[in-house]
Amino acid sequence: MPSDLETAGTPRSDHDAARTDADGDLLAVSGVRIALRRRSGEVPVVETATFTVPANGALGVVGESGSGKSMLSRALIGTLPRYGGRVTHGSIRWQGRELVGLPEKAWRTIRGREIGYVPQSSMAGLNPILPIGEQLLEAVSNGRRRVDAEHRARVLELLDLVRIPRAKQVVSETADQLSGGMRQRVVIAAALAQRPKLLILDEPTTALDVTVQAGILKLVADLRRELGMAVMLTSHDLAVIETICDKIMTMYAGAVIEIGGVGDVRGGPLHPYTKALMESRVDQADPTRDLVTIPGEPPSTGNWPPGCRFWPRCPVAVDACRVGDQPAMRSFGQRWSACLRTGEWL
Amino acid sequence: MTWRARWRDIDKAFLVGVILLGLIVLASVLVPVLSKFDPSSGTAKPMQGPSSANLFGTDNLGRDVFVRAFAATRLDMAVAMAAVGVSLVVGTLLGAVMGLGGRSKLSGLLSLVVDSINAFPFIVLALGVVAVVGPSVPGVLAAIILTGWARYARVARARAAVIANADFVHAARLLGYSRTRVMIRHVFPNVYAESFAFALSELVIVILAIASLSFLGAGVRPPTPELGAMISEGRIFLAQAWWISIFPGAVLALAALSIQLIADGYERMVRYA
Amino acid sequence: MTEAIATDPIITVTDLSVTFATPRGPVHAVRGVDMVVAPGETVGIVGESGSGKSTLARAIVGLVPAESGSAFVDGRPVRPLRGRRSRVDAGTVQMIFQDSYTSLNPRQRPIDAVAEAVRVCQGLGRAPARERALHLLGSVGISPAQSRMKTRSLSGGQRQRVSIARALAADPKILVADEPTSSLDQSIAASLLNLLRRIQAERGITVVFISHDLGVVRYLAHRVYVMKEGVIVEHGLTADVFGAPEHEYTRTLVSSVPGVRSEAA
Repeated sequence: MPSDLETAGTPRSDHDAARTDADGDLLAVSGVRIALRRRSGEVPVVETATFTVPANGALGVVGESGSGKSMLSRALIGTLPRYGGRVTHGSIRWQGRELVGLPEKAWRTIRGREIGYVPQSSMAGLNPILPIGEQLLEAVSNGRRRVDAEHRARVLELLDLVRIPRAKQVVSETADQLSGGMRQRVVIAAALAQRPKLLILDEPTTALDVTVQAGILKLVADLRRELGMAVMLTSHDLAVIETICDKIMTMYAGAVIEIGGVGDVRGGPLHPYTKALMESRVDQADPTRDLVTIPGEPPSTGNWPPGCRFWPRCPVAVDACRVGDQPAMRSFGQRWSACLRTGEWL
Repeated sequence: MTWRARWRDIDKAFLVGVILLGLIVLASVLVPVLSKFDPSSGTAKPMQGPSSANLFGTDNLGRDVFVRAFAATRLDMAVAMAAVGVSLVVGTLLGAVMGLGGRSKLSGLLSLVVDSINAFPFIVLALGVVAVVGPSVPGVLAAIILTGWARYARVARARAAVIANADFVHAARLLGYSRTRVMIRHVFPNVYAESFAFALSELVIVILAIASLSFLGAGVRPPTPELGAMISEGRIFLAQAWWISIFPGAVLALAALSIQLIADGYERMVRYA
Repeated sequence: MTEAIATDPIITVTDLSVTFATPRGPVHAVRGVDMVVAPGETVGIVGESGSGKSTLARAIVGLVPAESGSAFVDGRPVRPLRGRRSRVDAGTVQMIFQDSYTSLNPRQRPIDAVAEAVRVCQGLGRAPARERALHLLGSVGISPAQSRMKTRSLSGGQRQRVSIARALAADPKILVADEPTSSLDQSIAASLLNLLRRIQAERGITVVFISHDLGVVRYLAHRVYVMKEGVIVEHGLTADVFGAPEHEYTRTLVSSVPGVRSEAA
């Protein structure tokens, strides 16, 4: 793994210092439950989400389809209502301030300004007709009518920050004239316009070619260091997360099931699902052997089995796993695991 | 699948539409049969308001408006269904051929015809046809079919072009399926579902079109009862005998509404499929 | 061809070019490609978007016409599909597609799709074809109950299995798989890859695997061709190409992938 992508050096922050709560955390999510409105009623998509993001931290959220990680990201920037979702329980504290139940008006002061968001599809984040420069101006001036030279200078500064060459030309181009990688950089630039303290990236490299991915990941790591901001990345690709995150959080079927330092989790996952996920990685597999697989399929949203959500596919499930609620996470030093049996093998 | 699950799947608007339409159709079949009045001849006192004897009153020629209205509905429904049915089948078939044909000469020619017809406002074309064949029930039918099939063709053409590029069609060709088999079992079934939804929404337009043509005098000739014609004929009496126009209008509106509910509901159900 | 192929190749591609006419001008998707595949081996074609790997796959199979050059499969020249494909050709090479949603007819249940393939490719009657279809579906992990479900109720992984069963109905010698696991979850993709390996071992099928995922190709393929913008920039044994890449592009590709271990390191 290239070492320059790992955290190094002290962060330099040119905006008001991030206020953290008593534990030094920017973001503290506790017992959050998210439900989606469907024709048949409200369906839970995330239950028991508890985690924190420290200032300048880098959290990677790993989950397959149905894990709820995308909905969780949306809850953190208050866009759940657009998808018919809402937080039904729990708390999300940003710099000590409660975000659950916040009215849209208040969200506008947080979204973009405090917490930035980069969607998975760069085309979804950009207006296909407007030139890039105009869109970035909107992001920089926060939608205010009066746009001055300072704003324009900032746009060029942002393009430079995300390492887009020939910034003066790019500002007059439209989204479809740019390559996928460039578009993603523009979307990141827009997200950084208001100097947020936390940047959430939802599957930032999934739609990109491998060679372009590496550039984007390096960019995110550099930005984190240069701007002193925290980063939260969701991905289904373990390798991507291992590259730039220092903490990893695994989600399965709407529940957070393991949290720990990337090195620790990689060396010895505490939860059987994390372990199975790591073992079934193709990029680390031995070509002479069959791949390790997890039997069965992840449950579809809301159709969760009783007890621990993973038990039907778990190689070490016991009777206690099959009943009751999804087990809450327990701490083991700096690590957390939602498996009832974790204590046994530590 | 359990019955309860099926019940949940049925769009409620669809259900309301079906029930409403069912009642109207039932009425249009039963009323002319059971009523003692004859739709075409006036035996009662003319210009009488709604009463227990004449539920919708009588018109200027002493005809019972109630029985006339539903006899008219029967005619309108029948013509509309026939017109939509034929347009749907012919238009979808030709459209599918066009969509699959790609750049062949036949497709090109057909596309030219289809696009030309679609370029005109429907009523203008329909009036044109009626001007040629003369106002009558077959005339109206011909007018609507000749001008309507092109819209189905356009829908089917677009859909067929998309389906033709779908991987499962490629797979079918690779497996050695004949072109006929691919067309009939793979392309067509995936094309007509969308066309059918379109046809249902067209049904409303067609019913209103038949009424409009007759209202303009270019459709059904008196004394044949037809909803649009009845509204037109009753216009001059609107002040003294409002029931002559209003009741047929209400029935027309309800019929159109019920079909629209069915069309919308069906489209919603198919969309989630 | 620089590396030796032990036996007569079952696929030989010589100077193949494919060009598409687009409103923005001609696109040279594949340019002068040479390729050989020996019977029974798994050959990977890797490349990023726009590399032409999918187009090359479709040209080998006959779905896309070649502008110049030639392709021979099992000794016979590949001709673009026109009319009905012969049973011999259908029994030679079949394809698995990337998008599990569009690779199955939404109006057919798995059992119908596979039974139809058996009827046409094997010439069996209705009942025996159904039997054979159920057996084929079972062999790829689709239960009889699942076979009768509506296709849209199946998951992506299950749908890909149905596609494989349908392709196997033709009893092909070669399977061309165009990114079959790209849209699947990691754990599901792993099962599908195991399935492919098992099928290959059991039936002696030759597999041409197209992917942008180097990790998967490195795991599955004996030999690999690296494509960039329509040309083959490097090819050889997988271990050699990924372990000690010679071409600059291959080096960039390999070093960009987080996690792929360089054998030479």
